[in-house]
Amino acid sequence: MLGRIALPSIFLILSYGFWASSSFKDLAAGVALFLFGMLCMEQGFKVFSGGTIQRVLSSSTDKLWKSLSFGVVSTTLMQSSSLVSVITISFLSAEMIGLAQGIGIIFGANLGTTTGAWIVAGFGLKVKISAYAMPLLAFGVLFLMQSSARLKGLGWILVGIGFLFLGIYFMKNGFSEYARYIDLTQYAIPGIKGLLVFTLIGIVATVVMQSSHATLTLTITALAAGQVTYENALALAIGANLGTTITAILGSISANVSGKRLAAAHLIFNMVTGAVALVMIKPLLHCVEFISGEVGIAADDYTLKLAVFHTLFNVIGVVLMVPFINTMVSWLESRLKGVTVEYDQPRYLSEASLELPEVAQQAVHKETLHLFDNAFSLIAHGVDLRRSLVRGDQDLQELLEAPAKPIKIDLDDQYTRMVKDIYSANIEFISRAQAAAPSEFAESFSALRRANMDIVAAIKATKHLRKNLHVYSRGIDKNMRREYNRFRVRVGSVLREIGALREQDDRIVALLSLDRIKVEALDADNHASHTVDKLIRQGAISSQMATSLINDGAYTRELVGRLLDVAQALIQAGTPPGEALGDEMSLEIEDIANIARSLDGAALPGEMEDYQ
Amino acid sequence: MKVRKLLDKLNKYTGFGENADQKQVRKLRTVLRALKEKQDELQLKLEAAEGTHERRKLEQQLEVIRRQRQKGQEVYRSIKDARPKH
Repeated sequence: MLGRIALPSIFLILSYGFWASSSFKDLAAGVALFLFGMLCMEQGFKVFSGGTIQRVLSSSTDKLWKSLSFGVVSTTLMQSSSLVSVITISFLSAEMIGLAQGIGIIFGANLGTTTGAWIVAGFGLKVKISAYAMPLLAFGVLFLMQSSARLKGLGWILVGIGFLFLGIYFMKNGFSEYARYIDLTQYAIPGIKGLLVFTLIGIVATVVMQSSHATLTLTITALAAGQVTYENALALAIGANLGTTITAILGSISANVSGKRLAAAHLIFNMVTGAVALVMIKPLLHCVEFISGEVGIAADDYTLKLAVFHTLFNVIGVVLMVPFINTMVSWLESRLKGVTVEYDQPRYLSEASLELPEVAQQAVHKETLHLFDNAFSLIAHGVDLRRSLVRGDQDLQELLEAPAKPIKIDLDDQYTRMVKDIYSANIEFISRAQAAAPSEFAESFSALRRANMDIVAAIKATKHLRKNLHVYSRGIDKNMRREYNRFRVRVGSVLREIGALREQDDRIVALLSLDRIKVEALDADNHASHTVDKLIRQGAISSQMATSLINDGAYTRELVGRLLDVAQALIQAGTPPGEALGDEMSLEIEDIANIARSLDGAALPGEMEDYQ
Repeated sequence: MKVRKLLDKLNKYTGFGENADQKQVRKLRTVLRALKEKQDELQLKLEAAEGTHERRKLEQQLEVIRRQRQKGQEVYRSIKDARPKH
């Protein structure tokens, strides 16, 4: 109900705003660009999840001191705590780091942001991040046009940061109209009232200018010019800290629940720090005087004293809040609940199992089966087959003529969620285990590595096959529909047979049963090829359709072949070292081809009319 | 197969591995017996089958088992031949 009212209302408000004010146009475009930048960055980081960046991020934030240092260093380099917060939110949204690590980075960013005050107060410098937007966009788009997934991912990140900067630039422009009315000299108020009013002004100014640095620069300039009192300037600095959280909150709009939790943690930290600073303003001032005296800051150098104050109250905030990080994580997780989409992780691999080769082999065997189970779902859904149908008894040949019922699935997304992390972990684990194990285990580990690689290759073939299968298997052309449904049936049959093999305890019998499945798969492949030839000869399909069928036939062959290789490798990996009976009795590829050729599809139910 | 023959010759001279040899023969016999049972079962089904495609499918499966049994019997013979003659 609320959604139905909210969206038209937002449309109306935006339309009125665009008509009434050009500044509003800039402001709204800035917010839109900013949010779009967030989405681009998240897209980019997803490409790297499970890879190098995730490992680097995990190892550089796995302890509190590391995540704090990460926040301090990155904010010092970027000179923008808001940007670091926003990037951290996108890390968290892509599940590359945990909430506790994210909070550590945010706390560190609050410390890192104090270096800005020192630079402005000490050197009068200001790093202008918005100047980088255009080159970032240009380089980003260049990377986006590359075929490599990693370069594309990098492109999305650069474009994302570029849009973030551009968004901030437009927001600042849009607000510049309103910023003119913020003249600090008009509001010089002494006492507690002044403290509260100026904190509020600091918040508003930071929200308006989208930068706590800008507010601090303005404050330091005003302080140096004597336009604002020292006490009021301190309140402005506290307000700037509070106001900066708005960027993180804005960034969390497009993020998932993890990102929202981090934005909430940021807000809590800055509110507590701000409250403490306001309540303890007198003792803090004494401390500032003491520190300034100790480090040799002149008594009338209020700009540097402001930098000392800014640093001091952020340090106090971190010291006060660090012991409560875990409490904060539990509280936020219980309060902010959402549809959390988990990334499937390895279940059986552990450092301890690397110690004994038998245990390591068992662990990675189980993990490969786990990966295969996930791939089974992806592949079945990728060819629009329900798992229950594949595992059931229904004759799959019945699917040949009717239009396929579509199954909605994003294979790339599902690959990232269900396969990528487990696959990476398996490959790494196998390499480590193989290096430590005696030579008799080499064959088993090699078979497991092959099985993992074949699983991924089968998913990639499914992805290629799906593009046309999705269209033709429910299209109006009966010939094309039947042939694409035939691809589905072939894949479904092999998945069903391999699933049934899992029930077989005797490995030799399982390996021998695989011969029969291979013959049937090859028979079906031969038959499909002959049917396509016949359709082309008869002119029943266009040349474009024919090439699609031939190409997708090759993908189906690849997919089925990889699945059979996975099954074989898994059986071989489970065979005790030295046990070769299954291999000795298995048929050679020529035998399989001969048997399949002798029948030529005639063993497929419902296909006999072509041969009579 | 060459490695197997080499190992078998080694066993012949040392006397080691005779037990392992027995174990393998036992396993092979079990598998061959299971294949024979499956073959008989499929043969009966084939005799009762009416549809042409059903018959061809069974023939396909029978052919796979026939060739596997043939290979198994060859392995069995090679083990027997490699045994020391007392």
